[in-house]
Parts: sequence; structure tokens; C-alpha cells
Amino acid sequence: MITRPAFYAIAPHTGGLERLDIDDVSDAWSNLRNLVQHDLAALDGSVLAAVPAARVRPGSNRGGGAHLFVYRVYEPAAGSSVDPVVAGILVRPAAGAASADHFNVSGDIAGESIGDVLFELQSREVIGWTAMTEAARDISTVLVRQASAIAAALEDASRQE
Amino acid sequence: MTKEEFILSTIQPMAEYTFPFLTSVVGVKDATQGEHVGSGLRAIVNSRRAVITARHVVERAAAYPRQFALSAGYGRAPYIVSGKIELDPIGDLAVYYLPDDFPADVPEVSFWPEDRIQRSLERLATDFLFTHGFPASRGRFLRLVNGIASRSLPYGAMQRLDPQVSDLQTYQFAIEFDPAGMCAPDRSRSDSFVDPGGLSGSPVWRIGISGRSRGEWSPALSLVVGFLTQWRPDEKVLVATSAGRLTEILARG
Repeated sequence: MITRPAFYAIAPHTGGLERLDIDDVSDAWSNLRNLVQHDLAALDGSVLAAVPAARVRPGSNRGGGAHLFVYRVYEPAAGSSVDPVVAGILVRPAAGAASADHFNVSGDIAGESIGDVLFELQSREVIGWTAMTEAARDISTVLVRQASAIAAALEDASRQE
Repeated sequence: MTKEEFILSTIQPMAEYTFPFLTSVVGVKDATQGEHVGSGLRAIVNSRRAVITARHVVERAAAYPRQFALSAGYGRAPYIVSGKIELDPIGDLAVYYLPDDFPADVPEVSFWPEDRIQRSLERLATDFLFTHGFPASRGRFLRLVNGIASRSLPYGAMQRLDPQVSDLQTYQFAIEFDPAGMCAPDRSRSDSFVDPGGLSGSPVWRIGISGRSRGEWSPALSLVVGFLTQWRPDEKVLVATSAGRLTEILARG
């Protein structure tokens, strides 16, 4: 009887995996997304307190020249045609950057369809993951203070989709 | 799933996928007994069936009293090598075109396609490297009559970039390898049975994840990128010759 030989079971060497170029399994980006989403969620309580019928839709995406866009969409009461409001943080490669860890971080609050900018922070250019993470979280901290602007926009009948 | 978890999950599929392409190079002591000398890849090159291994493996195997043989599948007697072997004087590679009487249509014996041999160093640094061959420490003396059933060693690591490996030639690359620090999955120390001797000539693949998403990956995306030629314990690396060195050998036809 022929028996298939077994393999030696040796664990691979996993040092240097930070260089591994995988499109969608960047744990660092995933962690950052979760972190920023957690920070932005602090908006919910204040917005919903002001507009109890509002609904929240969190999300994120990558691509289109952006490393990461993390956002929360605040929708008006069901049946309303007022444009939803998006509070989001965008991480992009810095313009003309020579290295992969040179980032541009920005944040704003704007209409989902009509694009009216309700609040905007000056973008920041940073180098390195730690600086970029700190910048994203700093911007989150500022955005979560704008709950009243979001609530007002959701009740502004002139802002039609 | 972290990157590490993903990489760990690729080893078994890569091992199973690549095993049918591996061959053992056996020094023949007498009519019934042989000794594993090195490993190699069965491949189709120049539209012909061939075995690619390290030149020094061939030279060492050829020094045995009855010269050498290649494993030819489970339960089959090894194939005794005869005829010309193309040697690379620089890169330590060898190509042996198999004669027509080498067994065909043998279960678990396959030939790696030439279009999946990458002759450049593209994406080596950003992909995960995988090698698979037969280490030397067990079954050193092999009974030839009933065929060879050595246990193979699949292993993966990133390319060593830093610290730089000394005297590395442009056609070579290094792979992290420190058997002393390795553990089997049950966390028992495994250095007692990991002897990289015998892995010489083993093919090295990049698994093909670089530039792709995890969901896209399968072993069918892997590319042969080189062949192991050295083990440098002091620098804790395996050194491979790039498959680019095959260009010169294969040009001889």
C-alpha cells in the first residue's frame, strides 16, 4: 500500500510581514477605521437628542486615490427630503509624496447629495503612521463638537436632496 | 484575520499544491540503497520535461558509486539518471532534461509550467516566499527498490532585506531562516529534526499575494522565483539563486 508522506510541520517565519503588499488585509487600516469610527460615534448621542427621529448610518471605503474615508451619515426622519449629512475623515497620500507613509488627513461635515459644506477643517500633512493616526483622532475630536450644526442641517427645510 | 493568520493559513495549501512537483535527488550506493542528496523541481521547460536543481547537488550526487537517481512517484523505484545535464557555472543551477522513458502519467507527479517561472526579482520583497523540499536528517539511507517516501518540509518567510546578507550576488536573494527558533504547531522545539541539508535545489515560490486581495489568493497564483543553493546559519538565512539564471541554461536548448 502506498502511503502519502506527511509534511514536517514547521511554523513559517513571520518577521517582516509589514512589507507584505496585500490589497485588502491591511490590519493597520482596519484598526484605524475602527478607531476613528469609534471616535465619531460620540456624535450620535447629541444629534439624536436634538433630532430624535434621525437615523445613523456608519461606513467607510477605500480607493479612488484615498487610503481611507471613514464617515457617519446622519439621515433626517423617514419621509423627509432634507439631504442627509455626512461627517467624515479622509486619509489620502500627500500630494507629490515620495514615500508611502506621507499622508494628508482632512475632515469635514457636508451634505450627502448636495455637497454643501457645513464645517471644514484645514487638512494636515503628516509623516508616519503614528502621526497620521493622531491627526485623524484630533480631527475626530473637533468634528464631534459639531453635533448642533448637524442637527440644525437635518431640520433645515431649504436643504433638499 | 491578521496578516500573520492569513500567512499561516497559506502554508498547508501551498504544501499540498507544490508537493507533486518536487523530486528528491538520490545518490545511489548500490542496487538497493541510496542517500538523499538534494531536492529539485519537476518542470516543463523548452517544451520538455526536466528537473531543475542546484548544480552542487548534481555534482555531489554524481560522486556516488552508482551515480544518482530521481524520485519518480510513490512506490516507484527511482529513475536512474543518464545523459547530459546542463550546468550553470555561475548561479549554481542545473537542468536535466528527462529522457522519454521517465515515467509519465504517474499519480502525484506533475511538471511545473514554464510560464509560471518568474525570472525577475519583481515583487519578491513584498510577497511571501515559500520553499518546499526534502530535508536530510531523517531517512538518510533509502531503500530504493520500493520507492522513496521521504517526508517533505514546507517553509515560508519574507525575503531578508535588513540586515543585509554578506556577499549576496545580484542573481541571489535571501530568505529568513532560523531553525533554532522554530517551533512546531504544538510549540515543542523542533530544531532537532530541522536540518536544512538536503533542501539544496528546492524551488522557491512567491505565493502570489502581493498586489492582490486575500479573497483572490489561491496557490494557483504562485510563481517559482528561484532555487535554494545555500544555508548560512550564522546569518540565519537560506540563499536562493534567482530563476533568472535559467535563461542562459535554457538558451542552450
